[in-house]
Amino acid sequence: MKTPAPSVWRSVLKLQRLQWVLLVSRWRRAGWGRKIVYIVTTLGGLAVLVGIMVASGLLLRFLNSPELQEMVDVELFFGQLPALLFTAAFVGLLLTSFGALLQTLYLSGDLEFLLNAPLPARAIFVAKMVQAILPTLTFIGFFGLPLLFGLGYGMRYTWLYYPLAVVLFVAVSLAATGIAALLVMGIVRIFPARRVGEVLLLITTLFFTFFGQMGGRFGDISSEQSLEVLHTATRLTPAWSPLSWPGVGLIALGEGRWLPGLALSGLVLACSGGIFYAALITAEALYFSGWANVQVSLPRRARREQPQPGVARRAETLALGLRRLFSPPVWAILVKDLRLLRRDLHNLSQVLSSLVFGIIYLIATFTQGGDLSTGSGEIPGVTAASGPAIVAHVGIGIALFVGWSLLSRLAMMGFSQEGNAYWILKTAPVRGGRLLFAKFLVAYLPTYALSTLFLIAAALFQRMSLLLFVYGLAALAFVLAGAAGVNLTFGVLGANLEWEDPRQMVRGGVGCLGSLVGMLYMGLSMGAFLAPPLLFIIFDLNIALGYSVGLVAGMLISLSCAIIPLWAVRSRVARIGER
Amino acid sequence: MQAAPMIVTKALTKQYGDKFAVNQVNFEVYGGEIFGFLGPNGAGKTTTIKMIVGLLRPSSGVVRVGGYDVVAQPLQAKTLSGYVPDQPNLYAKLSGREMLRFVGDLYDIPRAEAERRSDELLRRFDLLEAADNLIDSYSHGMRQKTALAAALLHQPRLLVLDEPTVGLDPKSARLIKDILRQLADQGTAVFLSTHILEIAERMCDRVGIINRGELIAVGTLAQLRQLGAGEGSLEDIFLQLTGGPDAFDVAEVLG
Repeated sequence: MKTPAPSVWRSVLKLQRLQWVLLVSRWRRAGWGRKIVYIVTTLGGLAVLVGIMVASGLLLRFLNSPELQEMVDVELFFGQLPALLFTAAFVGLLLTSFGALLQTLYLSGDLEFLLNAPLPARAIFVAKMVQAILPTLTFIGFFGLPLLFGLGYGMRYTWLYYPLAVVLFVAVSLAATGIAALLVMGIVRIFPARRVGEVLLLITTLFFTFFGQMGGRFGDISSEQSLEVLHTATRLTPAWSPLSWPGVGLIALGEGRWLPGLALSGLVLACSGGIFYAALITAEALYFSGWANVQVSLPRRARREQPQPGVARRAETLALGLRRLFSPPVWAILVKDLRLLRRDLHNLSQVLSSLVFGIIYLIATFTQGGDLSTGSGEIPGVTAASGPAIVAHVGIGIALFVGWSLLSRLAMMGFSQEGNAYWILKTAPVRGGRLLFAKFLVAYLPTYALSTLFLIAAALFQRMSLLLFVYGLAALAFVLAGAAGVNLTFGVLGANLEWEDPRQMVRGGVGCLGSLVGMLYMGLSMGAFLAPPLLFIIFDLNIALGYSVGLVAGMLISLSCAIIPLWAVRSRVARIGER
Repeated sequence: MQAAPMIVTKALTKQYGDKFAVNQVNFEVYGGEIFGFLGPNGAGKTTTIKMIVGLLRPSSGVVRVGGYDVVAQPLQAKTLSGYVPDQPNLYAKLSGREMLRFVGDLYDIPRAEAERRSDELLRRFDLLEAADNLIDSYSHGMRQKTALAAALLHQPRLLVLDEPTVGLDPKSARLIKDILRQLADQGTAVFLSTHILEIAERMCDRVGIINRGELIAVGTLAQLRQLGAGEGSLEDIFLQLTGGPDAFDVAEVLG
């Protein structure tokens, strides 16, 4: 007896229902702590959406303000707003759905399982694409549609404008997803999917950290600059661009110009549908032909450094000396971890934000000519005479802060980053104390090097005295050692070797507590090092004595925190990874 | 066989809450023999192995390697043993050669000696050509062979392997079996768990069968046959001792 083939759309709905079942099941099985996190995250997301809608309203009001109408051609801007929104939605979805499609098509690992089920293959690919696009489409829709509707209401457009705005929005999104799916398959043909995912994560981290920091530092944009941005935006959507067609067609329909409106909207719908359908059948064909799964690249070879003979001899002598100094196992772990840190983009993405943070502050130091107090409000008002001497200490403070932000990650994930390869260390005849020492060095040495570089830059641009520079080096050495001790302790207590996402490396509660205690320690130790000399400067006392007091107080606190917590958890190291 | 056993377990127990993963297990493994550790899924094989190599702490009982208590004298015990897990999870971003160099340093082997042995093992395991490729690009079999090479680098007197031939092609499986036999012939104690009863039957000098955390039989094949129903194969003995599949029920489900 012949069984009728299930319809594509019914199968798509079935697969979407499966996603819903998985979501509900995850919710049911989650503990109370995780449920609270889900609820808070959902409420936070809703608050952000409400914020976006309010911001959209304010933006429209701003665009209607008489001041703006005097300065720019608002009619022109309003005319181009839909095109601008569709372009932004297309580009945004192209970029975001790339990552989502990479995950659903290659990294989730369920595609072959689903294709083996008695469902039409097309339904599975459609469901995968919808699954990839839905969260971002919802987000962009919440932002874009209120603007479009607001514009329609303000300009008294015809009723057809509103449903067509939604339809065109979805159509443009589908076209973007189709193109993204083909891009994913093309790129994964050359590079391994996991590697592409790592690079994507790295770029995303870099992007958000950089713009987050830049936005924070250079958030005050003048009204002239705002208008310049608006002018530039209007130039981004020339009429000939296919991305402008939905916007132009929508406005034509809204204004009652039926023929051009229907023609352009129809063209957009046909093109988007065509692109999505072509992408869908191409993706299917590429997958079933095996083209999308077979990589053309060769396996990566680890570079075998072959420096000049003289340099090689010196490097080897130094390495042998350090190996003997630290003991071979400690040296091996140090070299291995630094190598993995450099090569594994998962790990690198964790430390990248700290580096970007440091670079941005370096740039700020450069651009402000070494006077960090100018306009930044970081230095309280003090006497004119002691002001420059106090400002000179800011460089040390920022070097410490940059170092800490890198160190807290390196130390906290010291053990967790071993992941499921931890058995190698655990079955080796290496004492827990040595493991701790090795992980301490892995966190401490690169951080101290980075902070020292930053201190040198700050010293050059702030014309720091030699005494202050040496004092700064000592402060870095001790404060960072204490920070490594505190953070590594929490890294041991909260070690999680079963992570898949690097963000899960340290168990939630312990990670949060560790960050809080780490911050508390940094405030305390930095205060101990910097407060005495600053107070001695303000009260015009013997500065050498101020430095001596700071050094003794800071050393006491830092060394205590570097040694005591690690001593307390040394026996726990032997039990990491055991349930 | 040597007089002093390389592995001794006495009332070895691992308990998770009320559940006994391993319960009162006693056995000995001697240098020069291959000891096969058999049992159905979830019987406690991997838990026992993890306690032998020091990855898990027993709830009670003792496990000694080369006379050293694994809990009280872990460093001495670990120096004597090499371990190959069922899943060869290695550092994906190291090359095979870097991995062996790393392990050499962990076991404090002099650098020149470690380099010489690494080259020898890489050649023996047919990994020399891929030695400078990242492990990321290795197949399962290559990873398994790298893990075995790493376990053999310090010339252990005890080699513990958890399902060593799973996922290997016939050539690699044969290579590993040959190497294990050679090691045993040279006096190394080899302790391996396996699901493949033919391997155990052909390779192992003695066999232990664990079921639901309890060791239900230990001995040579001939000794086990005495426990079972006469001249059956190891598969027959195993199924008889552990309770075989109910073929009738399966057939009923399949209709």
